[in-house]
Amino acid sequence: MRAILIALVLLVASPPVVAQGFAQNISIELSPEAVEAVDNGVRLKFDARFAKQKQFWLVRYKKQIKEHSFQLQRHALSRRYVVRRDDIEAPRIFRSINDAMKFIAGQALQLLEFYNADSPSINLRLVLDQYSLPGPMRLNAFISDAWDIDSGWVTVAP
Amino acid sequence: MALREFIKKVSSPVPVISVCTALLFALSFLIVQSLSEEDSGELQFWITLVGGVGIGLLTFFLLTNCYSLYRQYARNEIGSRLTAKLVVIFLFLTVIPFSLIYFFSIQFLNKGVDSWFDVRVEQAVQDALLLGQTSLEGIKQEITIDVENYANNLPKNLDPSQLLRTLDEIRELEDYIELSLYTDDGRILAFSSVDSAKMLPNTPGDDAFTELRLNQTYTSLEPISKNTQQFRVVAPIQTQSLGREFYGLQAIKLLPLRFAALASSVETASNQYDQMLFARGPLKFSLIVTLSLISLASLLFSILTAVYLSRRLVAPISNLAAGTRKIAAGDYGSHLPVTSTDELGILTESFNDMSQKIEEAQQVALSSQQETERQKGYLEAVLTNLSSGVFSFDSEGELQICNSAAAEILGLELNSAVGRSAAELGREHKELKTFFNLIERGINSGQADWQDETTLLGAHGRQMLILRGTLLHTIDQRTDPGEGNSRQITNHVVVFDDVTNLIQAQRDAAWGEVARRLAHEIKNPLTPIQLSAERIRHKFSEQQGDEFKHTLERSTQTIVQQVEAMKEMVNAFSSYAQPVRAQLQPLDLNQLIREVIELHTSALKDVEVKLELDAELPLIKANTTALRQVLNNLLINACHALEEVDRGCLRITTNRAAKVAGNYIDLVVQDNGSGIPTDIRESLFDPYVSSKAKGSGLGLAIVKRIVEEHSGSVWARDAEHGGTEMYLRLPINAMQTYRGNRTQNTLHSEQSEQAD
Repeated sequence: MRAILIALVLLVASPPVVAQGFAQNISIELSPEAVEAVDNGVRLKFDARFAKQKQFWLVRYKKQIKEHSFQLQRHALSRRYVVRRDDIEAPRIFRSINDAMKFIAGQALQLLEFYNADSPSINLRLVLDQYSLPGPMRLNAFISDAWDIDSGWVTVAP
Repeated sequence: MALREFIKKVSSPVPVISVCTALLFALSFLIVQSLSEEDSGELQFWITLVGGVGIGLLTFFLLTNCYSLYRQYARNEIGSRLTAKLVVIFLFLTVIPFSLIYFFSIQFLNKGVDSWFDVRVEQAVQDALLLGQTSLEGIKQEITIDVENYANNLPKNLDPSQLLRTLDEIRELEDYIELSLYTDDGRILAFSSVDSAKMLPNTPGDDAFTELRLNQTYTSLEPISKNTQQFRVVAPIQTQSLGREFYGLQAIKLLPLRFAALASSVETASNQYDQMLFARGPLKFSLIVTLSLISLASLLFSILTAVYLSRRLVAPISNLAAGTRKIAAGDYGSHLPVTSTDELGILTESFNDMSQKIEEAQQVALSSQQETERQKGYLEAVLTNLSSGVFSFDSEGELQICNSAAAEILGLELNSAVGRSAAELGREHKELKTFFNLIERGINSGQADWQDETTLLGAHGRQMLILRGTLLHTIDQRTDPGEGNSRQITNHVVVFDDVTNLIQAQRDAAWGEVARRLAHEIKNPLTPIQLSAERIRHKFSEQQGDEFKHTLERSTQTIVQQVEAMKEMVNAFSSYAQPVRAQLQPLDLNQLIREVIELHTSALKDVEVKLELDAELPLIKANTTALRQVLNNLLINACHALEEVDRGCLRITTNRAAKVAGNYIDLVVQDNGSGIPTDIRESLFDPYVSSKAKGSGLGLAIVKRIVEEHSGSVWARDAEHGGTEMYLRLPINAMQTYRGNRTQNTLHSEQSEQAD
């Protein structure tokens, strides 16, 4: 029991992963299944979640303060990839899906820098929203790692 | 115990049915959601989770039920085997059709989903998309050519105001919504927009500038909203002004509304069809998983229902079996719960009625038994306190009741005697054979009442018993299906009393009265007679005449002698009548014999005396004086018998009576005299019976009386080689138990006389 308690304290007391530099790159990679799904007209929704680091006694946790979503979809007529942000009406068009993902990551980092300007130690996590997938694909997505697309928490050093 | 209670509670039908209902709803919703495009994925996730948990719970319920059933089966509880059989039957009835349905459902599902996608439809969609792309491509080419022309023809040296005016003219002419001029690094030189309030142009992306730097025209169809699409064209303008190699003229033109709607429709249809085509595999997976979950839940529900139904069906039978076992074990009156109104319910009610009636009958029987026990206890108390011995023989002639007085009188063991017949008891107890023979004869006589008496030489010495037998007829009320409702039973009750004390007391009283009368009526006048005779002799002895004197002397002498003889006779009789009045004390009989022999040495000088005395003869309790008189009388009789014998022989033998039950010693006085005359053999021990001319006839009577006072017996017989043998059998511990009261009575009598 004592060993378990010590391990728990070390776990919660250990510092979070901090990206070096002011504006760190955020890594989010689509699985082949996801790319194939986009090419077949499936719309992917990515959530950029911004959370503030909190601490209660020895327990550290993240309290979400803002969330932005990006929708990635292929436009069949123009053979382009369209990215829409929830708070911006105009979509962005890209030739490749990699460019589209880079745009989404860049947008998320810009937002991170924006929020960090007001309140330091804001964390960002870019994650695929599995719940927004089409109904037939959800059950598979819940149990498959291919759809567990997550950047993990990143932040910027002061 | 708490865990078992918990398992028992959660395994009851209510939570199982609740979980099953929720599970079926959840899984049904899951199917709907699997086919749905609605944005309710989170709900679907939770429903899936609930479904999994529900199946887990059902599995848990099933395992607990199976475990419970297994434990009941292992403990061989009533109904468990029948329940297990029914569960297996239900299982077969459920699993086989269920497996078939599941297999064909999977097949149907695969085929059904595949049938949704038709090759012709797919081709049509692709053709429609290609048509749309071709059509849009044409429009795009036209716009591109127009923009490139304007870019090539745009004057290079216009000032900003002229440039802006030119852009406005072109935009209005070509119906562009926006026309703007950029440097190749993205800087805005001028722009014209339909929206005059717009401060900044719609800047192209990096792709456009990349194309621009390669001196290529960038064209793009961009969806703005659902039914609005625009063309963006950025055409290069080769120039060396401002230090830049290229400028870029961007024109944005909305797709005509009709084209836009059609393009959007084609785009949407194509997307949906592609998406469905792509999701065919996941859809099958989702549906198969959901179907499997539903099948599994239904199967678990069916098995659980089978278990519950089996238990519910078997419960009344189990209750009946348990109730039957209880009744068989003597636990009457058990009430079983009536859970249904069907045949089993009727059977249970009938069982309850039967059980109640049995209980009532048992209560009545118990009350009757208690009453009987009470009566028996009362009877036993009466019998125990009764001084008379009581035997009760059943119709088979076996002893059923033997009270403590009977055991005490006869010296029997209560437990060993009960259950034996009179004949068996007679064989087992030789000294009581006469007694039991009388009883057996009385029982076999069939008389309603009979009476008899006998004398025993039992454990306490000689006993005189009076028996009265009665034949009892009782009715056995027990139902005998074979012979009718009741039958008559004959029992024999034998009541017997030890009247030895009573007779002895009567005899003592009679002889005491005789002695008293003799003393008063005979002995008292003898002295005056004797004195008168002597006075006559003294007064007339001086008278003349020898003849007279001689006659007087002879007459008075005769009178005196006869009076003296009468005195001796009266004294002897008084001695016979007088009871033994001393306390019994331990006595060495051998020593007493030697002392008495010593006293009669002179009389026995011509007689060969043989003493064969048992050296290990125990001390007996006896009155020494009385026994000394007994020995004197016997020796005197022997001496008298040996007076006319040339070689007289007297043999006195003592030993322990080994063949007789109880503790006795035997004393035998044997002579080789003339023997017992035949005419007095029967009345040898009666008073005034003698074979001698001078004998008083009281010697042997006194011997008999004293021996009987000691609870012994005496008899005489001819010796083997002539002469007489006198047998005395005396108890070692006479009158210490049973006859003690007679001693007390004697002492009381003695004290009363002394007081008088």
